[in-house]
Amino acid sequence: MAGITLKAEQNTSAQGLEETESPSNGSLDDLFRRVALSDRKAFEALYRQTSGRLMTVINRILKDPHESADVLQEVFVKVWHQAQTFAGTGSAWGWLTVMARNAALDRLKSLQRKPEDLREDTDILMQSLSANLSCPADSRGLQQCLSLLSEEAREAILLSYVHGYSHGELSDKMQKPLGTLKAWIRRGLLELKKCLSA
Amino acid sequence: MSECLRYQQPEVCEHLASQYVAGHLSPLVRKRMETLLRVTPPLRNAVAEWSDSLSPIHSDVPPMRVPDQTWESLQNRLFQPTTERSTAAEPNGIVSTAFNLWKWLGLGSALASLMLLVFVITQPANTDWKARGADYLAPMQASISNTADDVAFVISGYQGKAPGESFLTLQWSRNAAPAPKQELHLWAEDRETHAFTYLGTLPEPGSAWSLPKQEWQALINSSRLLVNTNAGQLDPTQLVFQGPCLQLKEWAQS
Repeated sequence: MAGITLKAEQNTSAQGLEETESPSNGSLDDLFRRVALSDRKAFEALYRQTSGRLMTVINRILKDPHESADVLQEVFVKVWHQAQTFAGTGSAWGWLTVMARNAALDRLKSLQRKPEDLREDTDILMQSLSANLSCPADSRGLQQCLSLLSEEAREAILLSYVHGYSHGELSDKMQKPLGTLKAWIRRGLLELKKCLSA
Repeated sequence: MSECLRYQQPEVCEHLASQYVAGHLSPLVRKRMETLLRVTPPLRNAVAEWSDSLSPIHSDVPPMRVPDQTWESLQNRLFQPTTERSTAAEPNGIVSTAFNLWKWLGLGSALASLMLLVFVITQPANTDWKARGADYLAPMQASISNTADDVAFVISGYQGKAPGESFLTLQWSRNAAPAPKQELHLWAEDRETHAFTYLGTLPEPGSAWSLPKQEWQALINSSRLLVNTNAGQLDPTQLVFQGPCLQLKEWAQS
């Protein structure tokens, strides 16, 4: 079913979208650093280069394009005000996705909605990682490491990371005790880290 | 071990960062984490490392179309003066105005309820000023918070009968995450000039501290209070907490 999700995202992609390329992390990092210095042109360029993909990240959690656009605006307000705190530590894209996901989770909470039960097929999600790779080394390494995890841990980590499921919601969805689920996730994240660091 | 040192520990940072990036923290803990991120570089590094590890999942997502008005609204919010912003045409004028009215009414009532609750809670026993209550309140939120429900602590002001006798008290909200152990500094922003005046180091929760006449004057002329980690200067983009100043009574002439 994740295939349906991904297909729906493809269909909503704009023909005349200004953001089409996946820019290199280097150029995004440079833009992020300039935004930290209150450079408005860099801010606009960062928006043009990332807003479409961040909208998808947000919409995967909210499943509502109007809410997603509103949350996207909040994210970029934070980017403008807080870039100075985060620029220079890690990659710009990493921070942008963290900020976007958290803003989407906050909105989900305020709307008192739960993630839609899409019965996502995490295998398809895994395949999407290896398709159309713009940064092959990172994605392949991540894909390989994810594939080494137990199926349950991988599914739990991907569903929470991509679609915003909480521990409790995952416990309901996967019909496993909360403690078991937390243990899977904790162990899975530790294994993932170990693998990625190897 | 102090909280400050605890967050310097690699294992603690690592665990918190992985849970934060993977999205497994409750909203309250996430807010707390975001406050800590601003003042704890090892934690920030750990989060950056984890987000860089997992973010390739999102690198190749197909971009969605973002409505043109999102960028226009963003520009209006960030770069247009308040007066221009207020007169800018909204696409859904009446609906938007009504929505905003309800939103602000909701926020206002939530804030008022919280203030009343905190006002009752913060009255220490066996003091002369307990009977008369605070003259001034500032509900302080984490600077990255978006809702009025997220008040972390309240600063209450009591005007003395003579210069130098005025003082402030600080009470941490029971619903908020524990107070950070880092040294935090309090500033007042003048409501007209927007100049910042340093008021001093934030004391331990539950304690009171007196303000010299000049600082008290800056406080009562301020539109908001700000908290950062640098006593030397205030960078408005590097705040830890901030909150509006609410005058509850007429100031006595002194």
